[in-house]
Amino acid sequence: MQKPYDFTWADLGNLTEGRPNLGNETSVAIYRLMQFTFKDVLSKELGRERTREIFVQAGHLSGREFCRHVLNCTLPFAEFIAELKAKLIALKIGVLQVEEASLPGLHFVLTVSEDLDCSGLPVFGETVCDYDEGFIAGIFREYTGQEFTAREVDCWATGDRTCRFQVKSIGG
Amino acid sequence: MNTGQALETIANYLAQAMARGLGRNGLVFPLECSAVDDRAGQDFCKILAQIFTQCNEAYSFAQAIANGELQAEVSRANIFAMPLKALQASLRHLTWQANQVAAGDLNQQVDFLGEFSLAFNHLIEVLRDKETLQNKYQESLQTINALLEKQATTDPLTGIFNRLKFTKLLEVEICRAQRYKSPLGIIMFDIDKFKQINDSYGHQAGDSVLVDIARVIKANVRTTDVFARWGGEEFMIIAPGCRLEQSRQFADMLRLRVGQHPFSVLQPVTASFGVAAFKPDDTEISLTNRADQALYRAKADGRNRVEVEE
Repeated sequence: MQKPYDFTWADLGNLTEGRPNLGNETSVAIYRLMQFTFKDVLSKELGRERTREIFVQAGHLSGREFCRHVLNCTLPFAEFIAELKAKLIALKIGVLQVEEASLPGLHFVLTVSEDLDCSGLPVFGETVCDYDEGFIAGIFREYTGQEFTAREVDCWATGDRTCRFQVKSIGG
Repeated sequence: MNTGQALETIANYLAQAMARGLGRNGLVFPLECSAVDDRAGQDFCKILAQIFTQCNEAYSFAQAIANGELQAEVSRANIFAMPLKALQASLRHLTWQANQVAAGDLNQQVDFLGEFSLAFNHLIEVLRDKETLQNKYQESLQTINALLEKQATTDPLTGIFNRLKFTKLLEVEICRAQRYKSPLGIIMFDIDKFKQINDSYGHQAGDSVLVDIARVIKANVRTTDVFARWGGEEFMIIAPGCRLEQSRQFADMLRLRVGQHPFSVLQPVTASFGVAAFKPDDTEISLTNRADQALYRAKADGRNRVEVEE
């Protein structure tokens, strides 16, 4: 049986060397094409709920790695959020905003507009940003050392114009 | 009614609504869809009626947002309310940001809100500049205060404590000695024939001797001792933890150090020492007086010696 694959940040490769002409960016449509076709095939193989769980897990891993390699986890909370906002804009992932933040209770309400996964989608009637849920929970896990859940309560696909996430510490 | 008549009714209603505004009731669909003869007309009316409902709801939602009701809700399927939801999310975030700034967080920035972004970010820049300025003033104030404190407590020639500071520290040590019943010695010393040094070599040379003797003594007292210039060529030392005999020995050691030091003047420089030890009823004055009296006897008995209180 083949060994499972363990992701490391180095696996992202050297884009400067690999794409000297095309550069390190591509279109959102191509990103979504990959993601939604994965969703299609996986949901047919494994069912919708299991597919959702897989996307959340992958997002969580991605969030933790992103935090470790791109963000400064030693910053105080306000500065950390400012850095996270700036990076998400710079990398064109989305525009992060905070609506509520309770540090003692470890409870946050975040919105992401122009979200990479869903902004501009037709209204499906359900939230679709499963990967983002994991991504956000992974970032908070890496920053605080505690486990979090992030639940999307509003999404472009449900008719809203920003994605809204309820983020809570699992212990709290 | 046929579809044409239905459309005419709707058009007339809308023309009036455009002229007078929506009013308290908003847009009211002006006919019963079932009254339209043909199916296609009925279906069209039903959809238009839904659009009227959405318009009314979006209008109420916009009004609520405009009134600052940031928790207002609107149905998800309302296509007219969608941009307003984005505005609502931005306003909620701005509310949080305003509270953060009020709490001192000057990392906040607003993105993609045009003129408002420029104004808010400019405000943050100004607040940061003011904070920087305030910090600089604070630092300058602290530096000035430290300097004033030093000037108020330090003898400008020798750099050691002055009489004022010494008196305050002696009060503290006396309190400590009374509280913990611990020994406390006090030494007063005076440079022998200092007037002669000044007359023979000039006041500059005299000052040099004062500076030198302060340096010698400072190098030989403990970190817990207090060393000060009492006035002129007189100096005082507080020796916490020292009884009378220990203080006497301490003073004698200092006397020898002074005698051995190569001063810049062409004559030996010596000092006379008076020693006293704290008694339970002592005040600063009574204690220093006894040291002073001992010093007087040291001078009278030949100088360059240590005498203890009687």
